[in-house]
Amino acid sequence: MAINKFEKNDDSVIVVIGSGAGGGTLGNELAQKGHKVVCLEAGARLNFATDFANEEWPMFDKISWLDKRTTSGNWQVAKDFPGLPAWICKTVGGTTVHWAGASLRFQEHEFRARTHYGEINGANLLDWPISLEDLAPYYAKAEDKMGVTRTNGIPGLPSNNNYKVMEAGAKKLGYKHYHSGRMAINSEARDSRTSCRQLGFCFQGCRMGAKWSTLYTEIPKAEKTGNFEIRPQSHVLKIEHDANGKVTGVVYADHEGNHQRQLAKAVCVAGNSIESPRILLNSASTLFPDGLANSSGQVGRNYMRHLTGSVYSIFDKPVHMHRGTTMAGIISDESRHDTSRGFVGGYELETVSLGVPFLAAFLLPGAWGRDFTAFMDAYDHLAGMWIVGEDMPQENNAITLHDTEKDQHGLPAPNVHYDDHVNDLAMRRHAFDAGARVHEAVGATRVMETPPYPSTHNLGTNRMSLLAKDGVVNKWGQSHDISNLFVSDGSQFTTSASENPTLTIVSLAIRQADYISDQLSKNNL
Amino acid sequence: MSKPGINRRRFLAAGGDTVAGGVAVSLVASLPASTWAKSLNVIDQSAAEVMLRVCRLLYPHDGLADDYYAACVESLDTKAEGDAALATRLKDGVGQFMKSNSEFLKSTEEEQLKALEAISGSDFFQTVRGHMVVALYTDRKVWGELGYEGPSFKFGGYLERGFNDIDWLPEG
Repeated sequence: MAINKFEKNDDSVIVVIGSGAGGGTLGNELAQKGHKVVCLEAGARLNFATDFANEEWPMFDKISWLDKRTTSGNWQVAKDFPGLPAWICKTVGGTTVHWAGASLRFQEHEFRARTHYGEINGANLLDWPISLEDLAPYYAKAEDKMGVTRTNGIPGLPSNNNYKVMEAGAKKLGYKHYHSGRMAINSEARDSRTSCRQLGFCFQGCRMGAKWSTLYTEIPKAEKTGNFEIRPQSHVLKIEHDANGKVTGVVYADHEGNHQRQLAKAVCVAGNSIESPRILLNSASTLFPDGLANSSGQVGRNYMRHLTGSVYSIFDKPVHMHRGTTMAGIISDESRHDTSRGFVGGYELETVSLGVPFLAAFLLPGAWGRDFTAFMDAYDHLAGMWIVGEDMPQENNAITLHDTEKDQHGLPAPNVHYDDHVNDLAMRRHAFDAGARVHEAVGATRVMETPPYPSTHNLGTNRMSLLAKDGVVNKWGQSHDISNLFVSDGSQFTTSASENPTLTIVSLAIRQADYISDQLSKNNL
Repeated sequence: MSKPGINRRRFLAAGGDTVAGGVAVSLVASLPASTWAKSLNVIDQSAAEVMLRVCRLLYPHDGLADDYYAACVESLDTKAEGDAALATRLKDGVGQFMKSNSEFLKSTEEEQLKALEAISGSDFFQTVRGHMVVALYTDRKVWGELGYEGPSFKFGGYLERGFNDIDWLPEG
């Protein structure tokens, strides 16, 4: 039996579900302000110094969310990886263990996608209920917290081989906005963590602790306050509420599979964008037959995953793209909104590199024969880049409870349905061409267009909205329906923008902590 | 069934194995039993010879000796030892394939590819391919052949080992 810091029947604690960019940050921010927090994390607690290995498949098995999930829709992921819609984490630190560190602010117009893009047929576009101006002070705090390079006097990381190829191509093509990234990876020692040694295994958990991850920053800092308790291997099954519709606590399965009930003053859901809506849907009751926080019917809906897709190119001379950071640089010119290109919204081009094991699995899933092995044979002559582009929210792209499939706890498993929107297809086509041109400008002889693999950016399924009928939470991430229920991860995103989501998730969490603290002091929850 | 010995024999000629498809076929057809490092328990020797050729056709690297492909066949055989459904799929699949393509090992690469394409939708094919794409490319010796340097933490990363040593890009 676990010896918990806080009593399970202590209804003055705030329960945070998930310990990643959203939950880990929120938990720490609340603890720093003196609030008692119990953070329930489904995954195990690893130690970056002893449990991380520079090995692709073993770490994938160790940190990934591999619970039962199904897929549907015309997206390629459903064909290539029907049981793995997302490549995200089940571990203390959440997906901040796996991520590559790219930390970009959204652009002003991206918070007003509906206003700027107009009515797009089939898309459920909506303006965010907050603006860049609202979030700017929190972006600044997040950049300081995470140690983002090119902010706060922190030097940019040095350019590695893979990025040098991208940079040379960008220069040749006349792009203007390219550099080695705004990265939450220490370029010098900072915040008691060492600096990057270009290991090349960012996706496998940073063995140096140089990359920001809540696992070894927010979580231990929160614990030092004495106000924070994390319970790993505690999988939340259901959120409970009283007759007045206020949440009262959660039921979770502990590491032995026994069900425990933790009471709570407020509950904050940060299980990433497939699990968060699933918890709300699985918490349906007589009072809330469509699930918690779902008066709008939008819980689970508007699932976004950015366009993704990669470009890998063969050069005549060696590159050694695997040496050093995975996301080693970026071209931002195409992230502008410019309909002369044939689509709304924009995309970033960022370097990516995979080792031989993963490249073989993801370069062109299902491919075999000499056309495929030509790329593997040319491994040390490859450069790679990844597309991060704004995809359209569509109401029927959604997480729903599967009719028959159950997870290991006997609860309905989630199905992830996604159809590409014509805007997505047009943008991806443009991005593949642009990426190829960048590499060809420096002599690429062959270019592979790698289709999207399991989604690492998962967004939108409990979206923010001004009006309760249009979304799940308000501008504070607070449920429109239940004042003491919050969403604290990327499922809050109203639209996906063209930037990697983590900086925005962290910024929203810092801001939400201010709001929750303020509301508690006024007894409004 | 005779149990092969445990000594591997490398087929790499000095300077690397750069044989074209035709010559590789005759090399494979005369593969001595000692190439198999372990005894095969689910498929027999003649099926293993066919499987080896299939594996090479799936993921051909002319510079990789047969040993690497043989190792993949062996690991699939080992997997099947502990999985009755897999064992059946494997035995039935390769058995059926050999019946429909009795001259497989003596055919040209083009003919062999046609035979594979004909079954490319089958469970047997996908099982073998799915196994191969992981087994071959998680072999650390294959990494070395392909120029992937693998784990780097123990060497201090690439900061002082060529992370930015590219020297052929156009100047500024």
